[in-house]
Amino acid sequence: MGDNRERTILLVEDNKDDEDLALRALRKRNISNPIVVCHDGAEALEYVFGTGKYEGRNVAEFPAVTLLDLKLPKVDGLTVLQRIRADPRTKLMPVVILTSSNQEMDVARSYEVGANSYVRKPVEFEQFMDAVHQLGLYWALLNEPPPDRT
Amino acid sequence: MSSTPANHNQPDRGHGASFPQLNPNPIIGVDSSGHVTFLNDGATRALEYTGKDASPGLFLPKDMNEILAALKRRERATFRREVTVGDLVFDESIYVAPEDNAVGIYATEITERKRTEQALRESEERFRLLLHQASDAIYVYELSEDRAGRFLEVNDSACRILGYSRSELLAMAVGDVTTPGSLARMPEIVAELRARGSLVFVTENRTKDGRAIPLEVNARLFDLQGRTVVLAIARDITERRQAEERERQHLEDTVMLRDTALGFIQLAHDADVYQYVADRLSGVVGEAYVIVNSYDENADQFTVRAVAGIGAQLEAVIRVMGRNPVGTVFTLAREHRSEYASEKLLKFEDGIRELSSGKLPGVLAQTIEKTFDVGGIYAMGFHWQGRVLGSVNVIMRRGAEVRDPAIVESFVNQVAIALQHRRDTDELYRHRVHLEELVRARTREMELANKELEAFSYSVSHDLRAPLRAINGFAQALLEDCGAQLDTVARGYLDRVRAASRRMAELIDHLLNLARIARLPLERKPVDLSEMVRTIAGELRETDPARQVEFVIQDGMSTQADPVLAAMVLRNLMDNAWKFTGKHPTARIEFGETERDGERVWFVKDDGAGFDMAYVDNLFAPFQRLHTTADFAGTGIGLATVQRIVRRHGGRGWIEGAVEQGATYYFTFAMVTKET
Repeated sequence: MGDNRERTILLVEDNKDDEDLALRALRKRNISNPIVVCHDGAEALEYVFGTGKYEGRNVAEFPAVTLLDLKLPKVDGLTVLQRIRADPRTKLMPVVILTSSNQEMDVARSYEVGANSYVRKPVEFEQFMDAVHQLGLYWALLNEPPPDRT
Repeated sequence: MSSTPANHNQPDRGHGASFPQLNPNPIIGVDSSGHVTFLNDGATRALEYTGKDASPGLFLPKDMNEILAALKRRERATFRREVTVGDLVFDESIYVAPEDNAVGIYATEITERKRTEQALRESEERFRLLLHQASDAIYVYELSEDRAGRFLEVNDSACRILGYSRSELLAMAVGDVTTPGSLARMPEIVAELRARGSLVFVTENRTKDGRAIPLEVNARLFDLQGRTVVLAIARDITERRQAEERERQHLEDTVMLRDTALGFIQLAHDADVYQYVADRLSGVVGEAYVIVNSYDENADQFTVRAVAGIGAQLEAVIRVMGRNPVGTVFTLAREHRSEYASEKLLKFEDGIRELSSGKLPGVLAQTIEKTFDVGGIYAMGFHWQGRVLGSVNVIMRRGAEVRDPAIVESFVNQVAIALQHRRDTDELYRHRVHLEELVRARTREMELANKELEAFSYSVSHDLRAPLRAINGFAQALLEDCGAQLDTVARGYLDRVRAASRRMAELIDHLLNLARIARLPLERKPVDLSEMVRTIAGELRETDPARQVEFVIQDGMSTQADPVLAAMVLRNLMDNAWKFTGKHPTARIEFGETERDGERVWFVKDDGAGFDMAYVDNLFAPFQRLHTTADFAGTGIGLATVQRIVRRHGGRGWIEGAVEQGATYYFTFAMVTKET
């Protein structure tokens, strides 16, 4: 297994503001991993499974962490997570639900479907940055990734 | 013979031989003029026995002159007479002796014999009277093999009951007047009679004109000059049987009435109640055709709803009338209708024509009457409190009578009550169905509203917060990235942008909470309120350990409530108390229990800023505040939330306070079950 710093962080976010703020927060915390941004659920699935726009991508090399919004165009976040968990190649992929909702229904369903963590995007930017930073560090840097399947 | 008048008391003892003189039987001699010339001792004794002054002439029969006439004609003659002397009766042989020119009377006393004969005659007469005057049939018949059952004697009642003359019966045997059914049981009865000597049994005899009549027989066996005979006293129990039958019928009808009432209750909602009534009624009436009609008050019309009765008649009716009578609509003359409100069976004297209010042509009416052998026609209304609900027509078969009019009347009256009851329950049923529909519709609406609220909350939760994040985030980015290029005023503005966005996010969260309280299901569990308050108090103290606040928390207060919501209530109230005592150097916050109008009430009391009771109503409206944000931070949602939770528990909440004298919030959670 290579250096965790070289592994991708996948950000699935349709809101440009949230995307920019997230990227800025990661940068400011000196996260140097390559960051891939998908703007809807369908695109995220193409990336994860190496289809469409990402044809040919090695599915086995899944991101160090995926920050997945719930409310997404085309395919919603929960469905994306379900598909990831349903596939033996990706079922151990670390996925963190990052959303503005704190509705119990969302939280409960996310864990049901197999989210590794659930983080509510705080309005306070500092908190948001803390949250993203911690997640980024935790998953990208400190966490030992699951055994390589190739 | 002496011609001197006879001395009655002292007859001439010298006349005649001594033998007659000594004869114990009276011997009397009479001369041609009818004077007694001789009395022997027997005669004298008889006279003495009769009385002191008894004359010897008493021995002379009443037709003595005729006997004397024979003497005058000098005929030898003998007479025999019965003569009564006082209490004594004598059989007298009277000899006319012309040669002696005298009549000799030889008397034998027969008083005792006469009395015995008389007694026997009277006894026979009494027996005859007894035998023939008895209302029960009495017969004596032989039981011996050769003359089995031969009648030896029958009384008048036996003749009357069986319809035979006495001589006819005396030539018959008991078997000749017994019905085959009873005859078959005879050997058994005879055997028992022989064994027991007497027996009471019921048998059935057949009269001369062929009628079968039930008899209760009291038979006794006895010996008549070596022959075994039966004395049977038989009572005609036809009437008793009929009475029993009437009694049984009455009981059956009463049971039927009761069953009808029960049946009505059990009748399925969509069952044909009219057919039920028709069938039941035809069971009580007897041989009749029963028509049950409903009555529509508004249209003043009757409608035939059901028919029942004599077997296959319905088909015949359809044949004659050309249609099924069910469904026929008819009206009645006004006078009939008012009679229908009576509780009696009405008789239609003019038959079918009257039944049809004269609408039916006479010829057709006659045809119907003839075809169906129509007898009496009756009608009666179902009525309830003066209103006619319907009617029944009872068309009897000719010769048949309504078995028990009283039963029919009570039946119809009972049906009226049941019909009314059914109408009432139908109406109730319709109301209930309508109500259920309303409730369903309302529930659907509420579910829809709830769903919309949920969708709204979801959307607010996701979409309303995103712009706030951008506002706050980019203001922060601006401060961090371009802070050097901004002056103090510009940076201050950015701080205020950020503060405003924070506050709005807070408002959104509180609003969502408020909405959630209405939406989430309420789960009541035992809740320890004291413990909850203690935890909250500890947390509050941690936020500002420097503050001098005394918490007074009553122990052991618990209730049944939703734990999450109850905690929310206490959290809000304690937050408020903490907040509004914040400007005082010391403070006291109390949680306790009290009683108002017999109800358990909890309260959270503080000695803080308080409020003016004039504005108390504003406290419970969302976003309404009595203090500026600068004085006390807050969104104005807290008490509205508390109020909503308390109401969802079926309780109530109110607040009392005064400016700078603190505030007390009281609340109750209605109990689901009574505490034991």
